[in-house]
Formats: sequence, structure tokens, C-alpha cells
Amino acid sequence: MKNEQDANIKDNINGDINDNPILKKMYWVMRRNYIVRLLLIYMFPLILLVVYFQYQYNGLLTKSREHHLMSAAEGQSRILDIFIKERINNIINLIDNPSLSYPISSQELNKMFEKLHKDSDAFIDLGYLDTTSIQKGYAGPLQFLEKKYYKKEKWYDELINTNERYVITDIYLGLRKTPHFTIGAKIIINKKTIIFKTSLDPQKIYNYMTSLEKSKDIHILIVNNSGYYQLAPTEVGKPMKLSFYIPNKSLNIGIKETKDSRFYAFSWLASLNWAVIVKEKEDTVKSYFNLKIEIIIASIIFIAFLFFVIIYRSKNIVKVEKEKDMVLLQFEQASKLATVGELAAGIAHEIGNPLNIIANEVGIMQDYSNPKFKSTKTLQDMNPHYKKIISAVYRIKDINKKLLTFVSQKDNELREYNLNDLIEDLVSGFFEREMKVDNIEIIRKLNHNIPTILTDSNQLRQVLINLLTNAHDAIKPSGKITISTNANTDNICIAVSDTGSGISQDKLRKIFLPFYTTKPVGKGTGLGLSVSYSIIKNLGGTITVDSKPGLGTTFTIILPVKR
Amino acid sequence: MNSMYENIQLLIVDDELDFLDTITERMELRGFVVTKAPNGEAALEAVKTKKYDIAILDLKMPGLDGKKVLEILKREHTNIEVVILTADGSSDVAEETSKLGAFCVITKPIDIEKLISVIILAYESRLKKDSGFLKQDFEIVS
Repeated sequence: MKNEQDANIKDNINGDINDNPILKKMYWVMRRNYIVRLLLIYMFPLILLVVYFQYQYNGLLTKSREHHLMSAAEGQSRILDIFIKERINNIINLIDNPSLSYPISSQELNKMFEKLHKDSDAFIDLGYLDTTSIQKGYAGPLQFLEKKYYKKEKWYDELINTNERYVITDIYLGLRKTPHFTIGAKIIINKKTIIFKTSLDPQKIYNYMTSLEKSKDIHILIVNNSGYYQLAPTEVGKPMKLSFYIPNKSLNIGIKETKDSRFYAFSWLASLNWAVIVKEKEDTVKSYFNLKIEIIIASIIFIAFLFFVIIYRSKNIVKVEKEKDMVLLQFEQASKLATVGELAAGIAHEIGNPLNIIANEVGIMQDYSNPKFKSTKTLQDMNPHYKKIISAVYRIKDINKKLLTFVSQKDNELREYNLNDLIEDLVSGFFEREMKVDNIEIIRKLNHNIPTILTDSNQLRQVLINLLTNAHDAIKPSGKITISTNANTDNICIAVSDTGSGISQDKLRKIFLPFYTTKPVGKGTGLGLSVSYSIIKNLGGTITVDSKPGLGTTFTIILPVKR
Repeated sequence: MNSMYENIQLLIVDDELDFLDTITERMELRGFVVTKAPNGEAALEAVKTKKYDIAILDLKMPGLDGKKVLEILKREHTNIEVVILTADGSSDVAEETSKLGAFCVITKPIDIEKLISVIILAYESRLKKDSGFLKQDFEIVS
């Protein structure tokens, strides 16, 4: 039976917590505040860190890509430079032969070509011409070039008119229709200018350059002075076509980023007006891009995970708060019943006396109508007795009403109250008469200018009942209880002082603990002050105690005016 | 019957004036000689000027409460019998007051016939105590 009752109370409280719109809103606000706080504490710095990390990482990646490309461009241009310088040396060494005489026999020319070809297999052929610009001799695979007239060739003019020993042409298709370039070198034999020309196949050196390990993830393009491809991988462009990009001629080496985050590095050759352009292969660009995306996705997943953890955590925290509140509510309910129990003796007295009056008044009217007493009273004479009965009935009704307001189930109802009215009702309703017969004077020092306060009157009433009951119990045989109210702009202060026995220092430390009591067994539950403490704390205020053994005790409640 | 009651000197002490007036009237109807006292101090004042056989005493009163009055009465007027009348009928009260020498405790609301029979019992007890000293009283009862 008792368990059933407990379960009912618990259900009731459960229902209260889940259905009460004010509580619902309060829990929602609590949860929102937790989420915002956790987000600020964890997410905000984390997101900053992630963004900073991304920024730094991208910067590093860009720098490393640029560096990689530039060093590749420089390296490749060196290789090409060295190759070309070596080929020039080959040809110059070949023709700077004192025993060379003009005209050169085809046998001699073949020998020279063989030597040249031995130095490098890039040499395709070797021919010579005199100032008539007609090829006088030729050694190589394309015999039809013999006797060819070279006057119209640009390089020929250049070589004739230059002080240099040699000229190098851009790559051209020429008569043989395959990309090649020509080195022309001149020598004066017997005061006669003789011009040697040799064609070179660039494909071999290009193959070498592109086959290097460090060239694996890049395209290597070679352009001439005016931006035409000299050599290029087929997927990028064809020789003699205009390049997508013409390197800056004022720099030896440089880098450029396009709008779509692609990088080109270039390096001009020292030996001729060619530039090596190095460009990341699409696969490489894609892999960098993918890496960035992966990091962003990982960051987002991590942040989302943390976000869900925070949401989940806030739910749990609110759940724990709810459970705590529920336990507190049960605790309050129990203590409220206990407070009622403590009040019961006083209430018995308050109800017993008017009942006694009623019984007695009825008795005397019976006496009047009893012939034994030979009463001469008329009906008119009954009036004072009726009045007494009615006033006694109203005394009981009053007590009943006040008792009901106290045990009312409407909890957690926050409304604007004037604390003075609350105190006045409580004191004149419950305590004044009882205190008077116990020789306790209740003095009210109420400041009538205190503002109204948004609070739970039932809970506050319970606290005041606890304090007044304790004060009452502390006073023997007679004394005073002073209730005062005061306020400043922020707080309202209620003080309950008694001239009772006081509380010693060691007990003072324990009085707000649950189940701590000094009252006789069956009289006190030890819940009153502990519940009062938690009620006041819940209302956003404080309750403090000050006591001098033998002189009395003062409890002070401070409540904030605005919550 | 009425003549017997006339000799019982009754003091009724209660702070509920409505009750005090009415019970006094009812007791007087029944032939008792009653003195009213609205508080403890008045009761102690009354016993100084007149000898009472029985005091009917309320417990909870402002000023001197019932227990204090009981204590003083029993100390200073050993032969008076005190009937306690209270709204709080717990066994604690009965135990405490009987220790202090109360004749018995009657719980409010009272039944007048019961009150009278208790008064008679108390008066008999009072007479027994007095038998050695107040022969006159004894004769009247017999």
C-alpha cells in the first residue's frame, strides 16, 4: 500500500517534469546553453585549428609543389644545356682539324661523320657547303640532300654574318619531315669559308630527360624564343605549334600558377634561346586535389562526430539534471509531508478549541430546553450562542483553507508575489495564535517598499514554515520571533530571528544536512532545513544562519529580484 | 442533588472566553459555584482570596501556561484537585500532567456529563485528603 503510494507520487512527479511547459522550456534552455557552451569550448577552437591547419598545409603543399617544379625545370634545362654544349664541342673539335683540306673527299666526310656519330648518336648526318651555299658534300642517310642549295635558310645567313663559330637552329621539320635541328659551324681553310652543317635528332635526349625518375610526375616541354613547342609530349602539344604558355624572358627561372590551380615552372637555357617548361601531369594535380579533399572530408567527419558527441552529451546532462530534479522533488514532497506532521499538533489545538466551543454552545441550548433546569430563556436569548457557533465554524474553515493552500499540488508555479503579504498570511494564519499560547511574541518588521518578486509561493511558504517551526521549538519558555523584510535594487532579504536557545558551533555546521535533527525522536525529520536550503538555491537565492548559543538564532534568506 | 454541588468550589481557567462564559453558565445551571479565570495569572490571583476544591485548567494559554499554573497550584495549595482540559489529547500530555499532580486529563470537545462525573470523583478524592482536618465538609457529604 505504501509502495503503491510512493509509486503514485513518483508518477505524479514524473508527469509534472515531462508535461509542465515551463519545466520543458527550462530544460530546453538548459540543453541549448550546454550545447552552446560545449560548442564554444570545443568546436570553436577546433574549427579554428582545422582552418589554420588547412591553410598552413595548403601553403606548404603549394610551396613544395612550386619548389619541386622549379628544381625539375632547372635540372632539365641543365641537362639540355649540357647536351647542346657537348654537341657543339663535338662539331667544333671535329672541324678544327689542321689536316683538313678543301675540298673534302666523300671518304673523308664519311669518316668525320662516323667519328661524330660515335660521340653522340643524336647526330643524324654531316654535310658541308661553301659560300655558294650549295652543299658540296654529305654523309648520312639522306643522300638526296647533296647539292642542295641552302641560300634561303635563315641559319645560313646568320652564320655567315655572325662572329660566332656556330649557330643552332630551332627545331623544324625541314626537307626530311621529321623534327630535328641543325648546328651550323664555320671554319676558314685557305682563306675560304667552309660551313659544316649537322642535323640532330632531339628525340633521344628528350627521351632521356623524360625517363628520369624525378620526371615521372611531370610533363617536360621545350619552347623556343617565340613560344613555339620544340619538343612536347603528344598529349600536350605538337612541335612547331604555339605553346599554351610563353615564359617570361626577363627571368632565368620562374613559376606560374593558373586560375585552375595548375603550376608551370620554366627555366631558360644558357646555350640558346630555348626554355624548358615543366608542368604537373593531370594525375599528379588530381592526386594533390584528392589529398586536399580527403583532409577536408576527414576534418568535416571529425567535427561532425564531435558535434554529435556534444548533442548526445547535452542530452545526457539534461537527463541527469532531470533525474536530480526528480529526486529533489520527491525529497521536497516528503519533507512537505513531514512539515505538515510537525504542524499537526498545533493544528489539532486550533481545530480542537472551536470544536469545543461548538459542542458547548449546543450543550447550553440543550440545557435551556431541558425542563429540569427550568430555564426562562427565550429564542431571542439564543442569538449570542448561534453567533459563537458560527464564528467557531469559520475559525475551523479558515484553518482548513490555509492547510489546503499549503499542501496544494500546484508546484513550480512562478508568479509575482509580495513577500510581505505571504509572510502576513502565514503568520496570522498558522502561527500567531499558537505562538501566543506558547508565550512567543511574533514581531513583524516588514519594509513596505520591497518590490514584488517572481517566485514559487508554495516553496517559499514551506521554507518560512520550517524556519518559524524551528524558531518556535527553540524558544523555552517564552521569547520573541522577529521576521523582517528588506530590499535593495538586486535582492530581497528575509530574516527570521528568535530569542531561543541558539545553536552551538559544531551543530551549526551540520544543520543544512539532510536527516540531521536535534529534536526528539518522532518530532523532527531532519529534512526541513536541508530542503529549505535546496529550495532557496533553486530559486536563485542563498540562506545563511547566524547563531549565538543562549541568545538566539537568525536565518537570513536573500532572493534575487530579477531571475 | 443540586445541594451537593453547591458546596464544590470550582475554578475554571481557559483563555477561550466564549467557552469560559458558556461552560460557567452551564455549570451554574447545575448548581455549581464557579469562578472564571481567563488566564493563569488570574487563576493564581483567585486562589489567594478563596479556597477552591477543584480547578479545571486549560493547558495552552498565553502568559502562564497550564503546566506552570498546575505546578504552582499543587505546590502552594496541596489539597486542590486539578482537572486538565486540553485540545491536545496525546498520551505525552497525560503523562506529564499526572506527574505534576493533575487529577486527570479531559480532551476537548468535552461532554458535560463526563466532566461532572470527573468533578465528583475529584471532589471525593479531595475530601479524603481533607478528612483529618475538615470534619465539617465530611458531614455535609454524608
